[in-house]
Amino acid sequence: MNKHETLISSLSSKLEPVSPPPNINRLALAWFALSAIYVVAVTHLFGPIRPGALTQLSTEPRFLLETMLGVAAILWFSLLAFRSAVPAALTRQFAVAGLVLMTLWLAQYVIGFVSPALEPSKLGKRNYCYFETIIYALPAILAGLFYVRRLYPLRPVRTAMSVSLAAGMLPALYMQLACMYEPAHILAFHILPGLLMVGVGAGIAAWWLLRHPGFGKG
Amino acid sequence: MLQNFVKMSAVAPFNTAMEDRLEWALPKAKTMTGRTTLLGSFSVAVNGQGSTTIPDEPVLTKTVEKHITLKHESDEQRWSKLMANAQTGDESDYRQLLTELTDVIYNFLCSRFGKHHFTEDCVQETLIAIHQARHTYDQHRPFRPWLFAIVRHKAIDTLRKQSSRQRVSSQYKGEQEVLSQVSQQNEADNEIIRGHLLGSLSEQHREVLVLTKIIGFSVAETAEKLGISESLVKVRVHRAIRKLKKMMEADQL
Repeated sequence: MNKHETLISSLSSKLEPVSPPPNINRLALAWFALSAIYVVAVTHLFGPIRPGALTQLSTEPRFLLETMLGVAAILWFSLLAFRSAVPAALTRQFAVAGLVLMTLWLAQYVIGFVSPALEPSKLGKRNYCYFETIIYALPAILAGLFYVRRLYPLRPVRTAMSVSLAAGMLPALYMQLACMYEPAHILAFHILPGLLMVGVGAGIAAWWLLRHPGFGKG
Repeated sequence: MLQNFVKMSAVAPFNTAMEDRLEWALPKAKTMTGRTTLLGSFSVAVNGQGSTTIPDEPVLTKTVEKHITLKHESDEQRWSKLMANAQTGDESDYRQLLTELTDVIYNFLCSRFGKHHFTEDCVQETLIAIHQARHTYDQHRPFRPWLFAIVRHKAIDTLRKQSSRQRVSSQYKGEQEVLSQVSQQNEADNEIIRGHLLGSLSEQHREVLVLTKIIGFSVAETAEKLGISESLVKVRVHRAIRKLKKMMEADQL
């Protein structure tokens, strides 16, 4: 026990006060809200949204449902990602519910091949929607990772992947209003780059861990 | 018969307070046949007076569980308060908290894995992790889940890192010392019986884990000893750790 006593005494001597722990849900909601505002603003900055897209939200219930499911899934994943950065804050049920919501949302586009929520058309097509989704997601990913790195993620790569998925899906969802509506196009040019962000997040986390081997490793 | 439960408490794998021993022995006592044994020994173990009043079994179980719950609640509140004070920079409270947690973590690991050098390493790693993560503890949330999430994670993490450490240290070890490690196998086997998680692994998984992670043989040495390929050793180690991780995650406190 002598070894432990030495360690305890070195850990407790000159103990620095730490700032009070943040409310993790509030932090996640703030990140989600700021990222959403940023994505909407930057999308409008680089081009107009599809004409009549907002009206379709009120006139087409399935389109509204699809959009709301997307918002709910991303919001849930934001909470999930931030909770996973605090020990024991994320329960298995919460994580499973997030995955179910996300799957349910994405399944809407697959169902859309047979029965689309809106009449498919090329109206409002943006030429670089694929790259826009990627580029718009990056600042949100970096901001999210900046916050979670200050917490204590037990599985940093997994946490980074969750943050990146939420961040990647935000522009992907908004492209539903900003770009043309066609399930195949949505899956290939909006959802796919959003999903690719998971790999980007994992890569950033792995790179970070290589540079900071002591992070979260005790 | 009457003495069985008392003996069980006495040989509980921790040299700690009676409540801890009781906590350890209760599930085992529940599985014992012979109501008199359980009931009679309970009054000896808890009151320490050998009272002859024998309650009904459900009443007894309820009383013991209540006793354990009360202990958990008092620990919970104390640790939560100590950690809250530590967050403000109170050194003595922090020292007290870490000292108390050292025993808890050590007992937790011993009961799951048995007593190995790995257990000592893991306690140290966990204490450092608690120190690094102390700013994430929210006193409005329960302390135990926060603590044991870190302990479980560090246990698997430390076990996974064992081989590389062993390999590094083995460069400095002579052949004689490697041979002496063989004699440690029996010791390790005995300890595994005490650690229910390692004990519940399949024979194949357990033997590779013990040889590579606990005794410290290299993959090549383990492969030679077991008469299997090196890649199979690696696969089994990987699967064994994954299984342990799942069991640790399912291990509710």
